[in-house]
Amino acid sequence: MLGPEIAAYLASHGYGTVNTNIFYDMFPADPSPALCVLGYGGEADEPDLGAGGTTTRLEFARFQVVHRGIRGDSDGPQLQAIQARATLVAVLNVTLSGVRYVGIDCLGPPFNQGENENQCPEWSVSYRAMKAPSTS
Amino acid sequence: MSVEISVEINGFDELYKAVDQLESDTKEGLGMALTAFGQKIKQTIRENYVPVRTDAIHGRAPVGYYQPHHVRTLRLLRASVRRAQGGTLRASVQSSRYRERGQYLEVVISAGMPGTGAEQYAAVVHEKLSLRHVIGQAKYIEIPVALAASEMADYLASSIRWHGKLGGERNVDIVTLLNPTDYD
Repeated sequence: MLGPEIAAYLASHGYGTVNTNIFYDMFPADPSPALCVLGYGGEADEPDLGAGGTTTRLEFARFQVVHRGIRGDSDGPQLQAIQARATLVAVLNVTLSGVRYVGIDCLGPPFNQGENENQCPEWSVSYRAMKAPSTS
Repeated sequence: MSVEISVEINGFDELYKAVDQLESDTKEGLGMALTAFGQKIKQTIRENYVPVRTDAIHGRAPVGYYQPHHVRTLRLLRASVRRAQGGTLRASVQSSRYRERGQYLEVVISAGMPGTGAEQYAAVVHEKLSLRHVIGQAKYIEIPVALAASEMADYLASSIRWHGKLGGERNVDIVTLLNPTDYD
């Protein structure tokens, strides 16, 4: 699935450890700093016409990465969002956790979401991934 | 603070070449069709996507703390606030008339009245996926625009043909020329 694949990719690039300070699908209120990959749908799949159109060749999944900093530090998560954006858009025709990713497009600059319930600032960036369907 | 989502339709240059020259009525026909399509998306957003009630995960009052009449008052207050928020946000979704911006024709779909603070509210509700929307959803503009993009070329082509801006004798395959795949 997209969440664990992107989370593992970010972990391999030094952003932290999955399920410790890199999360996917569910973002717990603690710890901070941390980041989370949240999928939110996307566009229609592209069928594999070579296989008679019965399987999916590519899917176009959208996801958001939320970066949370410690209380009072809004620059930290914003900077991490900028760095992670560069890391993610560098994905080009590579295999992540066994799934081929044709590319990842960034949909806009970092967005200030305000603070969570612990007054920790959160910044987010949205992306669109063009990828083969995940097998697990 | 606002969120900008753009859909870029490729192929207008080829379309203009196909009709030999850039006729002003051709451009106006495209612009009017784009305006109408924007209105159509706006209506879809208002009817199906705008959050009407937002239960933030945090900031919930400890209901057990209040006496029954306080609870009732609190519920009424919350309900009115939510209705007001939902109604205001829904009404604020607008789609502009087309305008020329350099080489592009542009239609802007927006939410939140600028200069009132509502723009910031609309943007946060749009982007914050962790909010619980009882009705509607986050990304309430981005998702319907992305879904509609694939229909856009068809809509523009049929609209232009309907208004007779491109004669059948030219035999232009408008859908093939307009390729709405490059959007974000």
